[in-house]
Amino acid sequence: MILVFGRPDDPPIALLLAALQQRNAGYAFIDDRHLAYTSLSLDLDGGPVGGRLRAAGEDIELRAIGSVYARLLNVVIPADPGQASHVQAFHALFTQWLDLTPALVVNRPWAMASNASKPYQAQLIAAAGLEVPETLVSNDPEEIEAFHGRHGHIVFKSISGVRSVVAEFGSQHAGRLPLVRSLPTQFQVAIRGADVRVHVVEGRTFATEITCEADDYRYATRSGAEAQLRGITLDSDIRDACIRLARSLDLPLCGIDLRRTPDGRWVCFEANPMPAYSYYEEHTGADISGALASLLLDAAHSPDGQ
Amino acid sequence: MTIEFLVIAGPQDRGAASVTRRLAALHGGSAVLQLSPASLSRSRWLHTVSPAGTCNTRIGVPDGRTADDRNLRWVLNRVVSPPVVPAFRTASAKDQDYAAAEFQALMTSWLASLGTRVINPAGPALLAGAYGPPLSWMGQARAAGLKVQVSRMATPDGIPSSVPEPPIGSKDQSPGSYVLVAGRRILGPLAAMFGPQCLDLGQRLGVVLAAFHFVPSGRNLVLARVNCMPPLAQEEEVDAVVRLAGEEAEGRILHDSRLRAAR
Repeated sequence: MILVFGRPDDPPIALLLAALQQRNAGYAFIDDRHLAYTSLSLDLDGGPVGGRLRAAGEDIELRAIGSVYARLLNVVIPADPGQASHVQAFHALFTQWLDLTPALVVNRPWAMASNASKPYQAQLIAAAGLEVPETLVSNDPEEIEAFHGRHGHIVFKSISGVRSVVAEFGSQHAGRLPLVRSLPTQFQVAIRGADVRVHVVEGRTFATEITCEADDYRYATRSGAEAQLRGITLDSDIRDACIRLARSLDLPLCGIDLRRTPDGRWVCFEANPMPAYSYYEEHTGADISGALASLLLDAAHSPDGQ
Repeated sequence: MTIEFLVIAGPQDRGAASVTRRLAALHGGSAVLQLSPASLSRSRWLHTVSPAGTCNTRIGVPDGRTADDRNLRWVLNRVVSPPVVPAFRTASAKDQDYAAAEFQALMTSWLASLGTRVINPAGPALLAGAYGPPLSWMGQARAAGLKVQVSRMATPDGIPSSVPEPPIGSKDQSPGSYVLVAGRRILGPLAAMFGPQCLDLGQRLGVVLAAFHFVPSGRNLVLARVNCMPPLAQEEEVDAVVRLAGEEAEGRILHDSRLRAAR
């Protein structure tokens, strides 16, 4: 059996459900807005973690689930104290089950944690064989000025998984630089070139080149710019490196942000463990949802879920 | 003189203070530094990552000294959450959360880059060591031959429920009924009864230093909690941790793949 967890109007979920339906695949769906009416019990007796999940009139034996796609976004906690404690307990148990079940899980919470620290994840990315941008995290304005002086063009962004708009550091920021004394801030050498997002679905890759004038194409419209997306084919060495990275992070699905420099180098910024792949699929027609549906379907039918 | 031994702990942590004193007696006071979370947030930070992923961290502490990871031989971390950043004390809750997430991300990258020089090895899910969802450590405890307090958990909807607290943390429980594992040393009142199993469980969880607390259940003692930051109230426990520091600094501890897996 396939289990899907999230919201039906979340585009990546909606695309996956459509792809599963197209394949006549049976699945159970847990709507994260209805957790107050969803119960879960887990037990360690009798081998791998088992238990039961009851939702929307269905009673599911957890050991029968062979694959899971879960988008653990911000779960809404009800105002009612009883329902709130139920939802919090469900979330705590469900997260543990995702980490422990032998089923294929896209993606396990444990594996997604590397994205909570960008410089930590950069160490793992480099260990997988991809170049990362030279990075400085500091709260010393003089060191940041020196880094700026050495490299000419630098950008700043959040250190953690909290989303931030990447911006180039320039003279307009000089007056605010002393503010970094309040909190260490991450600076990176600006990498010039073409943005490429690679989605890895197990052993398959879907690459999208993004052309945009803005420093951060995700927020292009804020600066009046427009992002152009087109599907591209990767050379085998970079394709293999992306697959190697996804496997080393234990992420069956991930979105890898790269930049291809004019001199042909590939530099990796991060691996997103919960990519909103729908944005890229809708612009390029790449069948990422189909690949994901096939992955889940194959795992659901294999004896060990993998 | 360069700082070679670093202890990160709050001012109330008597066990950590004992370790710091013993290390200073052995290696000289200038080679040892104890840093509180408050000091960390007031320090001057320089953390770099090269294009090949190599890290270097220099922390200029308020007393004027600098801890450079190229010189650090051993770090005892007793901090599970990031320090409160002074400039954000009166900020909105959202901004405070942001500051905490940023500081935690920095400390994760720094501590993880130190690898097995840190007790316990840090990871993104928990600064103080292995990530341990309750069911995970209970399953590992069973595999190590230990009985556990809870083997079933459920949402509170009429099914008998028990969602225990996260088991890996700093809260002490049943102080008289525990096994302390420090590297390959086994101590504590129940060392003779459960020592080898606790050593095995520590390795499975990827922790080098931990106390394993047991509570009565019928006629048995069952494992109720794993504490990665044991209080180190006994002299022999402090001694075991200080010996661990010496062995790690000399590279004599054998770290298996499970320790790396904890990252």
